[in-house]
Amino acid sequence: MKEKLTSLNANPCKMCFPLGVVTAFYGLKGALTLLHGSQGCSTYIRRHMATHYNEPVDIASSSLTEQGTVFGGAANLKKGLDNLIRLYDPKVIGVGTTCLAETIGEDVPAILREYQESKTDLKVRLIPVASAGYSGTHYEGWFKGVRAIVETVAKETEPHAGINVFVPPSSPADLRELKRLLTESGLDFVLFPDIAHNLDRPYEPVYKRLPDGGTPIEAIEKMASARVSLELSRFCPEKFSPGVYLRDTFGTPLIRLNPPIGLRDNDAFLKCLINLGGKVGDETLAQRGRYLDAMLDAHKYSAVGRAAIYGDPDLVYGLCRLGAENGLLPVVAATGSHSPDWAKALSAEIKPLGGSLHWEKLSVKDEADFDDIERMSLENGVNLLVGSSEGRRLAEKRAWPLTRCAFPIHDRQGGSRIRLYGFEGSTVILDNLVNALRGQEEAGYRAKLKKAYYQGHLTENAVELDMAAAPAYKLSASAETSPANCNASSETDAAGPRQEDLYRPAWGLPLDNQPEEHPCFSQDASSVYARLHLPVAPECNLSCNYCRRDLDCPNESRPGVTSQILKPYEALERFLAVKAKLPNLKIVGVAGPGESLANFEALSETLRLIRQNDPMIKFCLSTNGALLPIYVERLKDLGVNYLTITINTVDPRVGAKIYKEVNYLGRVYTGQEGASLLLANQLGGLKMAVALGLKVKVNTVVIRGINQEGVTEVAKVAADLGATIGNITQHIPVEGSVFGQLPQISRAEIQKISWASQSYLPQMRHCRQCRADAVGLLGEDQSRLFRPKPKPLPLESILPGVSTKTEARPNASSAIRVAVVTKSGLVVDQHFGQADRLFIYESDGQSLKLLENRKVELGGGGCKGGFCGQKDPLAAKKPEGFIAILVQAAADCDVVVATRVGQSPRDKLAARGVRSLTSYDSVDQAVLVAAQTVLAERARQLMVS
Amino acid sequence: MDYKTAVLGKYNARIYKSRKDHILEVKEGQTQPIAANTRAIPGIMTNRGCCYAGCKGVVVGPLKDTCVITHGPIGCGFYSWGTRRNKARPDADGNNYIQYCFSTDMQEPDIVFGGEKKLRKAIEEVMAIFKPKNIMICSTCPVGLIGDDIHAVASQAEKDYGITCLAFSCEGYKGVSQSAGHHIANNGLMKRIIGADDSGHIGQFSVNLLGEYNIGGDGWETERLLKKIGYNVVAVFTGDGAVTDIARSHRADINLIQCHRSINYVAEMMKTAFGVNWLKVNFIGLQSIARSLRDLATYFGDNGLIERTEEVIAEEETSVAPTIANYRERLNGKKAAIFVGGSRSHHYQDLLLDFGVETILAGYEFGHRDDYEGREIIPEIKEDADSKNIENLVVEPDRRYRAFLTPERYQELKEAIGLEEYAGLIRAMGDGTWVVDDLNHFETEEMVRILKPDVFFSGVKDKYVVQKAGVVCRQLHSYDYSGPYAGYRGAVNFGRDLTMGLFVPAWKLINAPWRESNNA
Repeated sequence: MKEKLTSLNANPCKMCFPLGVVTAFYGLKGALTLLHGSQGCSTYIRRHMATHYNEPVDIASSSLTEQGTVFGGAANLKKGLDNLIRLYDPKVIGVGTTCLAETIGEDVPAILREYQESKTDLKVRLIPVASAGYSGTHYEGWFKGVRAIVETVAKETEPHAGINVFVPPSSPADLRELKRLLTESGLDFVLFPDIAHNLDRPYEPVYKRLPDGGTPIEAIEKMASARVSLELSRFCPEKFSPGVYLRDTFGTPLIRLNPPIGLRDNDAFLKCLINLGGKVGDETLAQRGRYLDAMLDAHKYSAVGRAAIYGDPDLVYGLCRLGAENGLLPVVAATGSHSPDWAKALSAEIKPLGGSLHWEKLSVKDEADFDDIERMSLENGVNLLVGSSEGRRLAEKRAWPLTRCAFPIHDRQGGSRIRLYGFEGSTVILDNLVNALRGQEEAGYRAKLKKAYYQGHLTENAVELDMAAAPAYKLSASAETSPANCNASSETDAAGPRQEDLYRPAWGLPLDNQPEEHPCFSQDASSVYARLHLPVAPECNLSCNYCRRDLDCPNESRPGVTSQILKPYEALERFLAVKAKLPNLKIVGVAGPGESLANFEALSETLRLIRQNDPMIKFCLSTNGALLPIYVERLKDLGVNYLTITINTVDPRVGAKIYKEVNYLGRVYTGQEGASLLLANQLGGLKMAVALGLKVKVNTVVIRGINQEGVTEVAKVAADLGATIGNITQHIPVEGSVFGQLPQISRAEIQKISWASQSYLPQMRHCRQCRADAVGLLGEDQSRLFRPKPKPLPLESILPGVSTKTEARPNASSAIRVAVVTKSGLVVDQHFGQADRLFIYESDGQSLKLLENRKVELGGGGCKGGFCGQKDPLAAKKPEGFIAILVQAAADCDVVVATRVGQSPRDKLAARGVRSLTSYDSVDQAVLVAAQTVLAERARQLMVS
Repeated sequence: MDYKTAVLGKYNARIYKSRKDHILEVKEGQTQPIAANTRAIPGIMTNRGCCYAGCKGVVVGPLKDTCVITHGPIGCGFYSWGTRRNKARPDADGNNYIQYCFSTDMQEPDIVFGGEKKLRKAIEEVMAIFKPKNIMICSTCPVGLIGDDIHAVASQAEKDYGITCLAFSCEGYKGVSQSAGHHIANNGLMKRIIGADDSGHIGQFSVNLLGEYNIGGDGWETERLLKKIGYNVVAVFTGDGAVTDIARSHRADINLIQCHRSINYVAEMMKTAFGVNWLKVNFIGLQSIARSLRDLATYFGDNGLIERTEEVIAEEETSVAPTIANYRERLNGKKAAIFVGGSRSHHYQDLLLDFGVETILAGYEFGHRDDYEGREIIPEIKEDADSKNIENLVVEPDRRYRAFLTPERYQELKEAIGLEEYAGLIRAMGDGTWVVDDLNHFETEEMVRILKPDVFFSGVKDKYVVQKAGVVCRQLHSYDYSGPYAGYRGAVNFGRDLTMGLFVPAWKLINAPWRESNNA
């Protein structure tokens, strides 16, 4: 947010005045409250308190309607009192007012007097409290309620040795602890208001309409003559303070203390009791020792805490002091109340600790809303939220853990049992704070270490690279201002890396702490979990210049291998077959061979069938994004968890060069119009997918001279829109496509671009450019095991004039020498560049014979790491010239067969008259096909010449 | 056992007189009038909320492409912040404001000197941060009293920012319950939003879903079914709803009404103005869903659609049948009490019957007589001082739009599927069961004691009263953070939740082993 809001409260951090009043009355024995005004006030407050305390909350209303508003509400109020007395028989009724009653100027004390005078046998005490919603927050309302009761009830009596203890809004469990400490001290005390029982009632065999706990009214009567009042609030305004009232009216001495949160304030409280003649028991001393012990144990975690603490002034003050004594720095302290004294005192409290931790950015703010808290938290580098459950939206949005320890708690159980007071309460809350930090740490430490120590230096270089590249794409206004990235994010983005990033789980481990199972989204997963690609989508709605339609789409799979297309039920069969063989199968994907969404019927039917058979398997989809906004919700409904969107550029001018035609809902668009349309759908679809909770990978194919300049910009935009990971791949020139003759971009260039993009979006570096029918682990394609075995083509179909009746032995004139790159010797399973041996076969297209297992001496001891293998490409470099050695080794053959042959070796082999082919089949099959292919080409050349 | 005497005996004569007409024992085949939508009695802990809650909390709040500003002191805005658990996905522009609470947070000086200036500034600030296309202003009690002209502020904002800005004078004291707020919100939507957008194509078999607030995802499950069959859902009022959709909703072929109470005004006005027929549906409970879907298919009369409907019903029923049967085995024969808003007390009886659970007591918090006795009673309902204060908007037919049905077909369908009819709650209940309007805490306690239901469905305000009295209580406002309960999948969730509530092991452990007596 650019500037401070003055008139708008965006996500309030406070509740209304009457809520505090009625809560205070819950601490008075036999009391009920009636709010004079519209019934909505009572209803809202009741539902709010019941959700927190999980207890019945009875607050009556005078149910004023428009008529009462115009002619005065006295009749309604009196009727309400009648009914309340008749049905509940309370000892005391607190009559609070609301905005409505105060605005129309109801004179409640006068109405109550009138009522009392009209009833001769009235046993109930009536206590009026002026409590318009706009007189302050619930915090002041609480004290106002307490003071109103004391003002009405307390009177001069015989002086006695008892002490009064006034508490700020506190949880029932905390009040129980406070009463334990006071009882242990042996002092005669009256604690007020005591909500310990009434808002945390045990299950009882018979339900009591009126709870029987709370401070008895007789005890309050004697408060004026007590020895002293202890007020466990330093920030209650004097005009609302019950202690100040007794002091000023009856001369009762007043001591104001912080509530006993943390070591120092517990000590101060106990010291005060000792000064008054009280004792501290052994159990309390043992608890003090245990808290100290916990403080020592916690230091290594608490010291990294940078907390935003919000709520009532006393509570925030206490928690900040507890944080400070544990080295857990409260970098943001906020309250919704108006309390300049509090802000001053708290600043003085936390500044020294900030100084000793070299942390300058500390903010203390009263009259704050959650918009302020978010802004300050981002500026100050918060990694922990502490307060009510109302911070949950912020916690979710920013992935900061939230320790709930203040009213209201609406999304957890146990609001009545919050523990902060006493040494034991302090231990409990310290444990909770530290565990929140540890939870974050444990969830992401591996990825964080990897990022900091393994990838760190490379990322720095990447930032430099990016500074040189001029951004060509700006986010639209609506994206910039959407709630997802509103407020302070736009400010801090410009200021460099955010401090909170240091404490967030790094990429690769999602925030929900589930280990990533998708092999493409995590390198760790890629060596463990298998995936299955189902080729069910033959049609495509784009015409890309790097593609030849009759081949697999080169976005997602290697070209040159036309897959068999499966019908949905065939896909199910394949899935079941693969699942039976591969227990580590986690992901079923559809990656073409065309565009998955252009085949939506087949796609959805396939996924539906598989889901029926396996509720756990995760679905993944590759798409060009053109139809994504239309289908994304249905994809979500189908249970798709992952998407890969291929976005090659975010500049329509560049897009116009890449995409020949965009067929969108039956109309064909070309040029920049087509590219703009595609881009809008890609980005919109990406954002929608992310909003629906899908994880998105963005693939970019780098084409030399076309889009290589804008690739980092793609990563930046994709990251802004919420993509999880990027994947930058080499354009593989496909013969017959428009870009078929473009020189390929080198691996080294790809690496450079990939690292430059890394500063925006984590990049996948273990991509194998899989086939549309790939099966198994990323590195070990097993698709051939599940494909129907093609029969060798009859020779006459490829070689006109050749008889099929040739003899079985390879015939010298037509024998083709095939060099196969294989590690296992059974399957073509390596890139040409990975070869350290060649299997040389001779074949006539019908039969084959192994001639030689040729070891290739690469020099420098050879190397096992492939250049796009799992190991770091820069760490495992092959000796210079190894390609030349490999090419030399294959020079006597007619054809080389490998899973992949790069552009440079391909050219070099061609120069030696050696053809390059790719295959994933069994070696036998691959050799036969290779021989047939070469023979067919020769025959064709013969015919031409 | 005369429940009425046992419970009402504690009241004084005046209250007795006023309450006795709100309670009746159902006698099958008889016409039984009930008093409803009258003022709550002061001091007896009604469960009702206020006009603001009905307008902002129920109808306007769920609109995701709208920044709703509560004009007033902080409480009302805070308490209506995300408490209904209505869910929404971001709209096409990625906007979703329902997680936000905006308030002008009026202070004493604003009450004394007027709050218009602060409201104007608050709008300016919302525009600066979010640039929403729509802003809605909901006023709380003091605003009407101090005379802030929020409607003038809204029109000025429309001019200044080129947005749609609506103001709702829904001060808490208006009417007698939330119901007044529903009406005020309905009027606002009708005057300004519905019919505002004539652009773009509305597909075949197009429907609006009215009175579906997507609590716990109910609307999503319902939409899933409709879309699966082949319907085109134009707009949902207002769960996961958007102003942009509602602006186009007048061109849909039919309005489906889930919650009759909160939205029937819009349905009636759309019928008059745009000729959109409406049909009361219920997507809670397997039999009701099937009936609703079949009625809808009959409305369109398309054979393919009718076939597809049967296909989907069969498929969905088959998919949940074993689970439902499993829960039914445990729940069969249990007795329930339901006390919720203005429609659910009727809807959930159908779902309970799917599990063999009979409803022995039901009532609405803020229903009107037509919700109890059926719409035919409407001409007989007398206007009182409280309902007169709420504007009764009269709309004129807009000649540009054509009715979907011919008059003959309309008559035919009215008889066949009860088009534009609602028979009410009482007819759904069995002989000797009880209906209570505007149940309060005191009567709830007495009722639980006397009727001894196995489960009580209500909200969080009485939940703990009932549970402390030894009867499990499930919230049917927020679903106890569960849901969806609508549709086929929702029925399974409901069966699961009800079973887990009734079979909590703790119920059997209440008595300590060292105590002989059985006093639970």
